[in-house]
Amino acid sequence: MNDWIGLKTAGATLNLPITSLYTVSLLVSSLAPLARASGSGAAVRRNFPAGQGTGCFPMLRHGVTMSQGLFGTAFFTLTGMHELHGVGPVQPAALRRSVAVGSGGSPWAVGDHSLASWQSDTILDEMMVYDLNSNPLNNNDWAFALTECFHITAFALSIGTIMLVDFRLLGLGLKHESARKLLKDTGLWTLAGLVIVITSGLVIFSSDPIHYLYNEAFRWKITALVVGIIYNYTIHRKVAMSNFSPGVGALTGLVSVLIWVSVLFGGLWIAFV
Amino acid sequence: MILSFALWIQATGFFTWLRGSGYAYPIILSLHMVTLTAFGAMILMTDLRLLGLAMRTRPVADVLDQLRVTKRCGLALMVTFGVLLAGCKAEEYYYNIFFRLKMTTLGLLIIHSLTFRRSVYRRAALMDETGIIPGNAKTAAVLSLALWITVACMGRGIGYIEPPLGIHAALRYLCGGAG
Repeated sequence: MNDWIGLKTAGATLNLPITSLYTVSLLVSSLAPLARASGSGAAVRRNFPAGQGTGCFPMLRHGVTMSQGLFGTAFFTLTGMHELHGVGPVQPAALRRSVAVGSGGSPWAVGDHSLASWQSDTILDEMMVYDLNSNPLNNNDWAFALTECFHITAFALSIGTIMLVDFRLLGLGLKHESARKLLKDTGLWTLAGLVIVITSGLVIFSSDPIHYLYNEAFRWKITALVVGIIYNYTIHRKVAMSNFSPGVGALTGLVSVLIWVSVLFGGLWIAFV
Repeated sequence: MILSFALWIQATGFFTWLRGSGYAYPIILSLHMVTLTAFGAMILMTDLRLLGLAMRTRPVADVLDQLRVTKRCGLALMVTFGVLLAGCKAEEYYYNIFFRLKMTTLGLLIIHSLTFRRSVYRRAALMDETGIIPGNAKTAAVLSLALWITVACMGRGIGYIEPPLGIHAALRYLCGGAG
Protein backbone atom coordinates (compact mmCIF):
# COMPACT_ATOMS: atom_id res chain seq x y z
CA MET A 1 0.00 0.00 0.00
CA ASN A 2 3.06 2.29 0.21
CA ASP A 3 2.99 2.43 -3.54
CA TRP A 4 -0.68 3.25 -3.93
CA ILE A 5 0.03 5.82 -6.60
CA GLY A 6 1.72 2.94 -8.43
CA LEU A 7 4.70 4.78 -9.85
CA LYS A 8 7.20 2.25 -8.49
CA THR A 9 5.40 -0.66 -10.13
CA ALA A 10 5.00 1.29 -13.33
CA GLY A 11 8.68 2.30 -13.35
CA ALA A 12 9.72 -1.30 -12.93
CA THR A 13 7.30 -2.50 -15.60
CA LEU A 14 7.52 0.06 -18.37
CA ASN A 15 9.94 -0.39 -21.18
CA LEU A 16 11.14 3.18 -21.33
CA PRO A 17 12.58 3.32 -24.89
CA ILE A 18 9.44 1.69 -26.36
CA THR A 19 7.18 3.90 -24.25
CA SER A 20 9.00 6.99 -25.45
CA LEU A 21 8.53 5.83 -29.02
CA TYR A 22 4.79 5.36 -28.43
CA THR A 23 4.55 8.76 -26.80
CA VAL A 24 6.16 10.38 -29.81
CA SER A 25 3.84 8.43 -32.15
CA LEU A 26 0.88 9.45 -30.05
CA LEU A 27 1.79 13.11 -30.28
CA VAL A 28 2.45 12.79 -34.00
CA SER A 29 -0.97 11.17 -34.41
CA SER A 30 -2.47 14.47 -33.27
CA LEU A 31 -1.44 15.68 -36.68
CA ALA A 32 -3.74 13.07 -38.24
CA PRO A 33 -6.24 15.72 -39.42
CA LEU A 34 -3.45 17.18 -41.54
CA ALA A 35 -2.16 13.77 -42.59
CA ARG A 36 -5.63 12.87 -43.75
CA ALA A 37 -5.29 15.26 -46.63
CA SER A 38 -2.39 13.21 -47.96
CA GLY A 39 -4.24 9.93 -47.42
CA SER A 40 -2.13 8.59 -44.58
CA GLY A 41 -4.73 9.28 -41.90
CA ALA A 42 -6.51 5.97 -42.45
CA ALA A 43 -3.22 4.11 -42.03
CA VAL A 44 -2.62 5.85 -38.74
CA ARG A 45 -6.09 4.90 -37.57
CA ARG A 46 -5.70 1.28 -38.66
CA ASN A 47 -2.39 0.71 -36.93
CA PHE A 48 -3.24 2.70 -33.87
CA PRO A 49 -5.15 0.03 -31.84
CA ALA A 50 -2.33 -2.45 -32.41
CA GLY A 51 0.25 -0.01 -31.12
CA GLN A 52 -1.85 0.82 -28.09
CA GLY A 53 -2.57 -2.85 -27.44
CA THR A 54 1.12 -3.71 -27.27
CA GLY A 55 1.43 -0.91 -24.73
CA CYS A 56 -1.50 -2.00 -22.54
CA PHE A 57 -1.13 -5.77 -22.40
CA PRO A 58 2.33 -5.93 -20.76
CA MET A 59 1.04 -3.50 -18.11
CA LEU A 60 -2.00 -5.69 -17.44
CA ARG A 61 0.20 -8.78 -17.32
CA HIS A 62 2.31 -7.20 -14.60
CA GLY A 63 -0.74 -6.32 -12.56
CA VAL A 64 -0.96 -2.63 -13.47
CA THR A 65 -4.72 -2.39 -13.88
CA MET A 66 -7.23 0.42 -13.81
CA SER A 67 -7.84 -0.12 -10.12
CA GLN A 68 -4.21 -0.63 -9.18
CA GLY A 69 -3.63 2.95 -8.12
CA LEU A 70 -3.53 6.52 -9.34
CA PHE A 71 -1.08 5.65 -12.11
CA GLY A 72 -3.11 2.71 -13.37
CA THR A 73 -6.33 4.69 -13.25
CA ALA A 74 -4.89 7.68 -15.04
CA PHE A 75 -3.16 5.48 -17.61
CA PHE A 76 -6.15 3.35 -18.52
CA THR A 77 -8.71 6.15 -18.34
CA LEU A 78 -6.65 8.27 -20.69
CA THR A 79 -5.59 5.50 -23.06
CA GLY A 80 -9.14 4.10 -23.03
CA MET A 81 -10.59 7.49 -23.92
CA HIS A 82 -7.89 7.97 -26.53
CA GLU A 83 -8.54 4.53 -27.97
CA LEU A 84 -12.27 5.22 -28.29
CA HIS A 85 -11.47 8.58 -29.81
CA GLY A 86 -9.10 6.93 -32.26
CA VAL A 87 -11.31 4.13 -33.48
CA GLY A 88 -14.73 5.26 -32.35
CA PRO A 89 -17.32 7.47 -33.98
CA VAL A 90 -15.95 10.77 -32.73
CA GLN A 91 -12.94 10.72 -34.97
CA PRO A 92 -14.71 10.23 -38.29
CA ALA A 93 -17.28 12.75 -37.09
CA ALA A 94 -14.62 15.36 -36.53
CA LEU A 95 -12.71 14.63 -39.67
CA ARG A 96 -15.30 14.06 -42.34
CA ARG A 97 -14.56 17.38 -43.87
CA SER A 98 -14.84 16.37 -47.48
CA VAL A 99 -18.41 15.13 -47.01
CA ALA A 100 -19.64 18.42 -45.74
CA VAL A 101 -17.63 20.91 -47.70
CA GLY A 102 -19.90 22.42 -50.27
CA SER A 103 -23.09 21.26 -48.56
CA GLY A 104 -24.07 24.87 -48.05
CA GLY A 105 -24.74 26.86 -44.91
CA SER A 106 -24.57 24.98 -41.65
CA PRO A 107 -27.92 25.03 -39.83
CA TRP A 108 -26.10 24.89 -36.50
CA ALA A 109 -23.49 27.59 -36.84
CA VAL A 110 -22.54 29.03 -33.49
CA GLY A 111 -21.55 32.54 -32.59
CA ASP A 112 -19.77 31.92 -29.30
CA HIS A 113 -16.12 31.07 -29.72
CA SER A 114 -15.10 30.82 -26.06
CA LEU A 115 -14.54 27.10 -26.58
CA ALA A 116 -11.62 27.82 -28.85
CA SER A 117 -9.51 28.43 -25.75
CA TRP A 118 -9.12 24.69 -25.35
CA GLN A 119 -9.94 23.38 -28.80
CA SER A 120 -7.77 24.34 -31.71
CA ASP A 121 -9.55 26.40 -34.33
CA THR A 122 -8.70 23.87 -37.00
CA ILE A 123 -10.41 20.93 -35.28
CA LEU A 124 -13.35 23.13 -34.37
CA ASP A 125 -13.75 24.33 -37.94
CA GLU A 126 -13.68 20.77 -39.17
CA MET A 127 -16.31 19.70 -36.66
CA MET A 128 -18.49 22.60 -37.67
CA VAL A 129 -18.61 21.48 -41.26
CA TYR A 130 -19.28 17.82 -40.43
CA ASP A 131 -22.55 16.90 -42.08
CA LEU A 132 -24.86 15.82 -39.26
CA ASN A 133 -27.17 14.07 -41.71
CA SER A 134 -24.44 11.56 -42.48
CA ASN A 135 -24.71 10.21 -38.92
CA PRO A 136 -27.11 7.23 -38.60
CA LEU A 137 -28.30 8.71 -35.31
CA ASN A 138 -29.72 11.65 -37.24
CA ASN A 139 -31.22 9.92 -40.24
CA ASN A 140 -32.78 6.88 -38.58
CA ASP A 141 -35.93 7.07 -36.47
CA TRP A 142 -34.80 4.59 -33.85
CA ALA A 143 -31.00 4.80 -33.63
CA PHE A 144 -30.80 7.77 -31.28
CA ALA A 145 -33.56 6.57 -28.96
CA LEU A 146 -32.09 3.07 -28.74
CA THR A 147 -28.62 4.41 -27.99
CA GLU A 148 -30.13 6.53 -25.23
CA CYS A 149 -31.85 3.45 -23.80
CA PHE A 150 -28.49 1.69 -23.50
CA HIS A 151 -27.01 4.84 -21.97
CA ILE A 152 -29.76 5.22 -19.37
CA THR A 153 -30.22 1.61 -18.30
CA ALA A 154 -26.45 1.30 -17.82
CA PHE A 155 -26.64 4.09 -15.20
CA ALA A 156 -27.81 1.48 -12.74
CA LEU A 157 -24.95 -0.83 -13.69
CA SER A 158 -22.23 1.82 -13.47
CA ILE A 159 -23.21 4.64 -11.12
CA GLY A 160 -25.77 2.52 -9.28
CA THR A 161 -23.26 -0.13 -8.22
CA ILE A 162 -20.84 2.59 -7.10
CA MET A 163 -23.70 4.04 -5.04
CA LEU A 164 -24.26 0.65 -3.39
CA VAL A 165 -20.70 0.91 -2.07
CA ASP A 166 -21.36 4.56 -1.10
CA PHE A 167 -24.43 3.52 0.86
CA ARG A 168 -22.36 0.87 2.59
CA LEU A 169 -19.74 3.51 3.49
CA LEU A 170 -22.59 5.60 4.88
CA GLY A 171 -23.79 2.61 6.90
CA LEU A 172 -26.87 1.92 4.75
CA GLY A 173 -28.04 -1.00 2.65
CA LEU A 174 -25.74 -4.02 2.48
CA LYS A 175 -24.40 -3.57 6.01
CA HIS A 176 -23.52 -7.18 6.77
CA GLU A 177 -20.94 -7.15 4.04
CA SER A 178 -17.63 -5.33 4.44
CA ALA A 179 -17.11 -2.42 2.05
CA ARG A 180 -14.00 -4.20 0.81
CA LYS A 181 -15.99 -7.31 -0.09
CA LEU A 182 -18.82 -5.30 -1.63
CA LEU A 183 -16.36 -3.36 -3.75
CA LYS A 184 -14.87 -6.61 -5.05
CA ASP A 185 -18.35 -8.02 -5.73
CA THR A 186 -19.55 -4.99 -7.65
CA GLY A 187 -16.26 -3.82 -9.23
CA LEU A 188 -16.53 -5.76 -12.46
CA TRP A 189 -20.18 -4.76 -12.97
CA THR A 190 -19.27 -1.13 -12.36
CA LEU A 191 -16.51 -1.31 -14.95
CA ALA A 192 -18.81 -3.02 -17.47
CA GLY A 193 -21.42 -0.32 -16.82
CA LEU A 194 -18.90 2.49 -17.27
CA VAL A 195 -17.78 1.02 -20.59
CA ILE A 196 -21.40 0.87 -21.83
CA VAL A 197 -22.22 4.34 -20.54
CA ILE A 198 -19.11 5.97 -22.03
CA THR A 199 -19.33 4.14 -25.36
CA SER A 200 -23.02 4.93 -25.84
CA GLY A 201 -22.33 8.47 -24.59
CA LEU A 202 -19.68 9.00 -27.26
CA VAL A 203 -22.09 7.74 -29.90
CA ILE A 204 -24.74 10.21 -28.69
CA PHE A 205 -22.10 12.95 -28.62
CA SER A 206 -21.24 12.28 -32.26
CA SER A 207 -24.81 13.14 -33.27
CA ASP A 208 -24.09 16.83 -32.74
CA PRO A 209 -20.59 17.48 -31.31
CA ILE A 210 -20.64 21.27 -31.45
CA HIS A 211 -24.05 21.48 -29.79
CA TYR A 212 -22.74 19.42 -26.88
CA LEU A 213 -19.36 21.14 -26.64
CA TYR A 214 -21.06 24.53 -26.29
CA ASN A 215 -23.62 23.19 -23.81
CA GLU A 216 -22.74 24.36 -20.29
CA ALA A 217 -24.51 21.37 -18.71
CA PHE A 218 -22.59 18.94 -20.91
CA ARG A 219 -19.26 20.46 -19.93
CA TRP A 220 -20.24 20.32 -16.27
CA LYS A 221 -21.29 16.71 -16.67
CA ILE A 222 -18.07 15.62 -18.39
CA THR A 223 -15.94 17.40 -15.79
CA ALA A 224 -17.89 15.70 -13.00
CA LEU A 225 -17.62 12.36 -14.82
CA VAL A 226 -13.82 12.56 -15.10
CA VAL A 227 -13.55 13.66 -11.46
CA GLY A 228 -15.95 10.84 -10.50
CA ILE A 229 -14.00 8.13 -12.32
CA ILE A 230 -10.66 9.25 -10.88
CA TYR A 231 -12.17 9.61 -7.40
CA ASN A 232 -13.81 6.21 -7.65
CA TYR A 233 -10.62 4.37 -8.51
CA THR A 234 -8.38 6.25 -6.07
CA ILE A 235 -9.71 7.74 -2.83
CA HIS A 236 -13.06 5.90 -2.86
CA ARG A 237 -11.38 2.57 -3.53
CA LYS A 238 -8.57 3.16 -1.05
CA VAL A 239 -11.02 3.98 1.76
CA ALA A 240 -13.39 1.11 0.94
CA MET A 241 -10.46 -1.33 1.00
CA SER A 242 -9.18 -0.06 4.36
CA ASN A 243 -10.44 -0.36 7.93
CA PHE A 244 -12.00 3.07 7.80
CA SER A 245 -13.54 4.88 10.73
CA PRO A 246 -17.28 5.61 10.39
CA GLY A 247 -16.62 9.32 9.88
CA VAL A 248 -14.10 8.83 7.08
CA GLY A 249 -16.36 6.22 5.46
CA ALA A 250 -19.41 8.47 5.59
CA LEU A 251 -17.49 11.44 4.19
CA THR A 252 -16.02 9.37 1.34
CA GLY A 253 -19.43 7.89 0.50
CA LEU A 254 -21.17 11.25 0.66
CA VAL A 255 -18.62 12.93 -1.64
CA SER A 256 -19.02 10.05 -4.10
CA VAL A 257 -22.82 10.27 -4.06
CA LEU A 258 -22.63 14.04 -4.61
CA ILE A 259 -20.22 13.70 -7.55
CA TRP A 260 -22.36 11.06 -9.28
CA VAL A 261 -25.62 12.88 -8.59
CA SER A 262 -24.09 15.96 -10.21
CA VAL A 263 -23.13 13.87 -13.24
CA LEU A 264 -26.77 12.74 -13.55
CA PHE A 265 -28.10 16.27 -13.03
CA GLY A 266 -25.66 17.59 -15.63
CA GLY A 267 -26.85 14.98 -18.12
CA LEU A 268 -30.50 15.84 -17.62
CA TRP A 269 -29.76 19.57 -17.75
CA ILE A 270 -28.28 19.30 -21.25
CA ALA A 271 -31.85 19.37 -22.55
CA PHE A 272 -32.83 22.36 -20.40
CA VAL A 273 -30.08 24.93 -21.05
CA MET B 1 -62.96 8.83 -16.85
CA ILE B 2 -59.18 8.51 -16.77
CA LEU B 3 -58.95 11.42 -19.18
CA SER B 4 -61.14 13.63 -17.02
CA PHE B 5 -59.00 12.73 -14.02
CA ALA B 6 -55.89 13.62 -16.03
CA LEU B 7 -57.43 16.95 -17.00
CA TRP B 8 -58.40 17.69 -13.42
CA ILE B 9 -55.05 16.79 -11.87
CA GLN B 10 -52.95 18.79 -14.30
CA ALA B 11 -55.21 21.79 -13.76
CA THR B 12 -54.69 21.80 -9.99
CA GLY B 13 -52.74 24.76 -8.65
CA PHE B 14 -49.74 22.72 -7.65
CA PHE B 15 -49.20 21.00 -10.99
CA THR B 16 -49.88 24.18 -12.91
CA TRP B 17 -47.12 25.83 -10.89
CA LEU B 18 -44.76 22.86 -11.31
CA ARG B 19 -45.32 22.77 -15.07
CA GLY B 20 -44.44 26.41 -15.45
CA SER B 21 -41.57 26.50 -12.96
CA GLY B 22 -38.19 27.03 -14.48
CA TYR B 23 -36.17 24.80 -12.19
CA ALA B 24 -38.51 22.54 -10.18
CA TYR B 25 -39.46 20.36 -13.14
CA PRO B 26 -35.92 19.50 -14.33
CA ILE B 27 -34.82 19.01 -10.71
CA ILE B 28 -37.59 16.46 -10.14
CA LEU B 29 -36.75 14.80 -13.46
CA SER B 30 -33.10 14.56 -12.39
CA LEU B 31 -34.08 13.14 -8.98
CA HIS B 32 -36.25 10.60 -10.79
CA MET B 33 -33.10 9.55 -12.69
CA VAL B 34 -30.98 9.49 -9.51
CA THR B 35 -33.45 7.19 -7.77
CA LEU B 36 -33.68 5.09 -10.93
CA THR B 37 -29.91 4.67 -10.81
CA ALA B 38 -29.68 3.77 -7.13
CA PHE B 39 -32.85 1.67 -7.02
CA GLY B 40 -31.97 0.04 -10.33
CA ALA B 41 -28.63 -1.13 -8.96
CA MET B 42 -30.36 -2.76 -5.98
CA ILE B 43 -32.77 -4.65 -8.24
CA LEU B 44 -29.86 -5.56 -10.48
CA MET B 45 -27.76 -6.99 -7.65
CA THR B 46 -30.74 -8.93 -6.26
CA ASP B 47 -31.51 -10.44 -9.65
CA LEU B 48 -27.87 -11.15 -10.41
CA ARG B 49 -27.55 -12.87 -7.03
CA LEU B 50 -30.56 -15.06 -7.83
CA LEU B 51 -28.98 -15.88 -11.17
CA GLY B 52 -25.75 -16.77 -9.39
CA LEU B 53 -23.81 -14.09 -11.25
CA ALA B 54 -22.94 -11.65 -8.46
CA MET B 55 -22.19 -11.77 -4.72
CA ARG B 56 -22.07 -15.54 -4.89
CA THR B 57 -20.31 -15.89 -1.56
CA ARG B 58 -23.15 -14.13 0.27
CA PRO B 59 -26.30 -16.05 1.25
CA VAL B 60 -29.28 -15.18 -0.97
CA ALA B 61 -31.40 -14.44 2.10
CA ASP B 62 -28.82 -11.98 3.38
CA VAL B 63 -28.75 -10.02 0.10
CA LEU B 64 -32.57 -9.93 -0.13
CA ASP B 65 -33.10 -9.02 3.53
CA GLN B 66 -30.51 -6.27 3.62
CA LEU B 67 -31.80 -4.59 0.49
CA ARG B 68 -35.50 -4.94 1.29
CA VAL B 69 -35.92 -1.69 3.23
CA THR B 70 -33.65 0.47 1.04
CA LYS B 71 -35.34 -0.93 -2.05
CA ARG B 72 -38.76 0.01 -0.72
CA CYS B 73 -37.56 3.50 0.14
CA GLY B 74 -36.01 3.82 -3.33
CA LEU B 75 -39.19 2.64 -5.01
CA ALA B 76 -41.34 5.01 -2.95
CA LEU B 77 -39.12 7.98 -3.87
CA MET B 78 -38.98 7.00 -7.54
CA VAL B 79 -42.77 6.61 -7.73
CA THR B 80 -43.28 9.93 -5.93
CA PHE B 81 -41.06 11.81 -8.39
CA GLY B 82 -42.70 9.92 -11.25
CA VAL B 83 -46.20 10.94 -10.11
CA LEU B 84 -45.05 14.56 -9.83
CA LEU B 85 -43.72 14.44 -13.39
CA ALA B 86 -46.77 12.70 -14.80
CA GLY B 87 -49.18 15.07 -13.03
CA CYS B 88 -47.64 18.02 -14.87
CA LYS B 89 -48.47 16.63 -18.28
CA ALA B 90 -51.25 14.20 -17.42
CA GLU B 91 -53.34 14.96 -20.47
CA GLU B 92 -50.64 14.54 -23.08
CA TYR B 93 -49.32 11.47 -21.28
CA TYR B 94 -52.78 9.96 -21.43
CA TYR B 95 -52.36 9.85 -25.21
CA ASN B 96 -48.67 8.94 -25.11
CA ILE B 97 -48.13 5.36 -26.29
CA PHE B 98 -44.87 4.99 -24.36
CA PHE B 99 -46.48 6.22 -21.16
CA ARG B 100 -49.24 3.63 -21.62
CA LEU B 101 -46.68 0.91 -22.28
CA LYS B 102 -44.69 1.99 -19.22
CA MET B 103 -47.78 1.83 -17.00
CA THR B 104 -48.65 -1.58 -18.47
CA THR B 105 -45.14 -2.84 -17.72
CA LEU B 106 -45.39 -1.50 -14.17
CA GLY B 107 -48.68 -3.38 -13.89
CA LEU B 108 -46.88 -6.54 -15.02
CA LEU B 109 -44.27 -5.89 -12.33
CA ILE B 110 -46.98 -5.79 -9.68
CA ILE B 111 -48.23 -9.14 -10.97
CA HIS B 112 -44.62 -10.35 -10.94
CA SER B 113 -44.14 -9.45 -7.29
CA LEU B 114 -47.47 -11.01 -6.29
CA THR B 115 -46.65 -14.17 -8.21
CA PHE B 116 -43.13 -14.70 -6.97
CA ARG B 117 -43.32 -13.22 -3.46
CA ARG B 118 -44.19 -16.50 -1.83
CA SER B 119 -42.58 -18.95 -4.17
CA VAL B 120 -39.26 -17.14 -4.53
CA TYR B 121 -38.58 -14.09 -2.39
CA ARG B 122 -39.78 -15.61 0.88
CA ARG B 123 -37.88 -18.81 0.26
CA ALA B 124 -34.39 -17.41 0.14
CA ALA B 125 -33.37 -19.17 3.36
CA LEU B 126 -34.32 -22.51 1.84
CA MET B 127 -32.14 -21.78 -1.20
CA ASP B 128 -29.20 -21.14 1.11
CA GLU B 129 -29.83 -24.37 3.03
CA THR B 130 -29.97 -26.54 -0.05
CA GLY B 131 -27.44 -24.48 -1.99
CA ILE B 132 -29.68 -24.70 -5.04
CA ILE B 133 -31.40 -21.79 -6.70
CA PRO B 134 -34.56 -23.28 -8.24
CA GLY B 135 -35.65 -22.62 -11.80
CA ASN B 136 -38.57 -20.42 -10.85
CA ALA B 137 -36.25 -18.11 -8.90
CA LYS B 138 -34.09 -17.68 -11.99
CA THR B 139 -37.20 -17.10 -14.09
CA ALA B 140 -38.32 -14.46 -11.62
CA ALA B 141 -34.91 -12.76 -11.81
CA VAL B 142 -34.79 -12.74 -15.62
CA LEU B 143 -38.38 -11.44 -15.85
CA SER B 144 -37.64 -8.75 -13.28
CA LEU B 145 -34.57 -7.56 -15.20
CA ALA B 146 -36.42 -7.60 -18.52
CA LEU B 147 -39.45 -5.73 -17.15
CA TRP B 148 -37.41 -3.06 -15.35
CA ILE B 149 -35.25 -2.44 -18.42
CA THR B 150 -38.47 -2.09 -20.41
CA VAL B 151 -39.80 0.42 -17.87
CA ALA B 152 -36.62 2.50 -18.17
CA CYS B 153 -36.66 2.43 -21.98
CA MET B 154 -40.38 3.22 -22.21
CA GLY B 155 -39.78 6.06 -19.78
CA ARG B 156 -37.24 7.56 -22.15
CA GLY B 157 -39.62 6.94 -25.04
CA ILE B 158 -42.26 9.18 -23.45
CA GLY B 159 -40.13 12.21 -24.25
CA TYR B 160 -40.03 11.39 -27.95
CA ILE B 161 -43.76 11.69 -28.54
CA GLU B 162 -44.98 15.03 -29.78
CA PRO B 163 -47.94 16.07 -27.65
CA PRO B 164 -51.32 16.03 -29.40
CA LEU B 165 -53.17 19.28 -29.74
CA GLY B 166 -55.25 18.77 -26.63
CA ILE B 167 -56.21 21.47 -24.18
CA HIS B 168 -52.88 21.49 -22.40
CA ALA B 169 -50.87 21.53 -25.59
CA ALA B 170 -53.07 24.27 -27.03
CA LEU B 171 -52.70 26.31 -23.85
CA ARG B 172 -48.98 25.92 -23.96
CA TYR B 173 -49.01 27.05 -27.56
CA LEU B 174 -51.13 30.09 -26.74
CA CYS B 175 -49.06 31.01 -23.70
CA GLY B 176 -45.86 30.95 -25.69
CA GLY B 177 -44.26 27.73 -24.60
CA ALA B 178 -44.05 28.05 -20.80
CA GLY B 179 -43.28 24.64 -19.34
